[in-house]
Amino acid sequence: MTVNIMANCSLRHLLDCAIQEVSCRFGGLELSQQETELSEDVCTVSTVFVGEHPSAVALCADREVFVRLAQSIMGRAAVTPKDVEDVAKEYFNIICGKIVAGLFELTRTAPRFQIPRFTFGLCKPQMDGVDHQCVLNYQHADHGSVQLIYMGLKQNPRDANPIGAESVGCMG
Amino acid sequence: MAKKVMIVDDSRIAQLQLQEILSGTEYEVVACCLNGEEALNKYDEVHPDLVTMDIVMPGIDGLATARMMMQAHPEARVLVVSSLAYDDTINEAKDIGAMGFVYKPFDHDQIMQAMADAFSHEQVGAGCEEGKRSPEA
Repeated sequence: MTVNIMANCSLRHLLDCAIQEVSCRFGGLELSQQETELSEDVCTVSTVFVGEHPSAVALCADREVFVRLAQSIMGRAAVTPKDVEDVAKEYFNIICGKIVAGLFELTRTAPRFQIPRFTFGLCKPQMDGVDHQCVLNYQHADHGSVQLIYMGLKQNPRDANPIGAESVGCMG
Repeated sequence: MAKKVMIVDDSRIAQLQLQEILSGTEYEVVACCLNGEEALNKYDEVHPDLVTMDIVMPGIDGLATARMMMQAHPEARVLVVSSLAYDDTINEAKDIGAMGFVYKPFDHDQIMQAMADAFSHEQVGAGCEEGKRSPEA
C-alpha cells in the first residue's frame, strides 16, 4: 500500500497541500515550490509516524523563516529562541496532522505521530529501511528556504527502525 | 457569569492562541494543562464548564483522556481541537461524547462557533458535523 502511494503523485500532492495550507492559514506564509537551497543557518523539526505507513518526516528551514513565523504568531517583532521553537513545533504538528488525515483519505488507514522534536541546525532523518522518500523545496519571498522531507519506511519493523524518536539519526 | 474553560494542549502556542481568542468574551480560561494526566487531576479542582482537548500529547492522548474524563464526569463538555482530523478520530470523538471537533489551524470564528454549539446542544456529537464543514474537510 505504501509503495502504491509513492508510485503516483498522490503523496507529493498531499505533502504539498499540507504545507501550503498550514503555512498560509497558521502563519500567513506564502511558499512557492521551487528548487532552492537552504542557508547555513537552519532549524529542523521532525517526527516519526508509527503504525500504518511508518515514516520519518522532517521540516528544515532557514532560521529566518521560523523567526518570521514566530513573529506572526506571537504578534510582536521581539521573539525568543523558545518562541521560535514552540511555534515551529506547533506549525509542524499541524502539518503532520494534515498529512495523516490525507494518508487516511488515500488508504483508509492512518499512522499516529510522535511529539515533534526541534533542533537548531540541520538534522535530516537518516534511517535504515527507507522504502521511498519525497523531498519538496520551497522559497519564501523574503525570508529564505524550506524543505519538507518524507521518508517512507519498510513495513517490517525488523527492516525499518521507526520506533522511538531517539532512533532518528541526524545527517547534517 | 463567565463560563469556565479548561484548555488541554501540550503546545504553549495553541494555549496562547485559545486564550487570546477567548479573552474578553463570555468564557474564562480557568486552567491550562499540558497533558492528559494533568487534565484529569485538574478537572476535579476547577470544575470547568467546557474542556478543549488536543489529541497528540505526551502520555495519555487526548481522546483517551476525554474518554476517562467523560466516564468520571458524564456531564463534562469536551471540545476536541486538533489537526488530527479524519474519519476515525472524528468518529471516536463522537463516540466518546465530545461536543465538537475543531480543526487546527483554527481561527476566532471557528472556536467561538464551536463553543456556542457546545453549550446549545445537549446531543453529543452535534458539533462534530460543524467541524466537518471546515474548509479543509
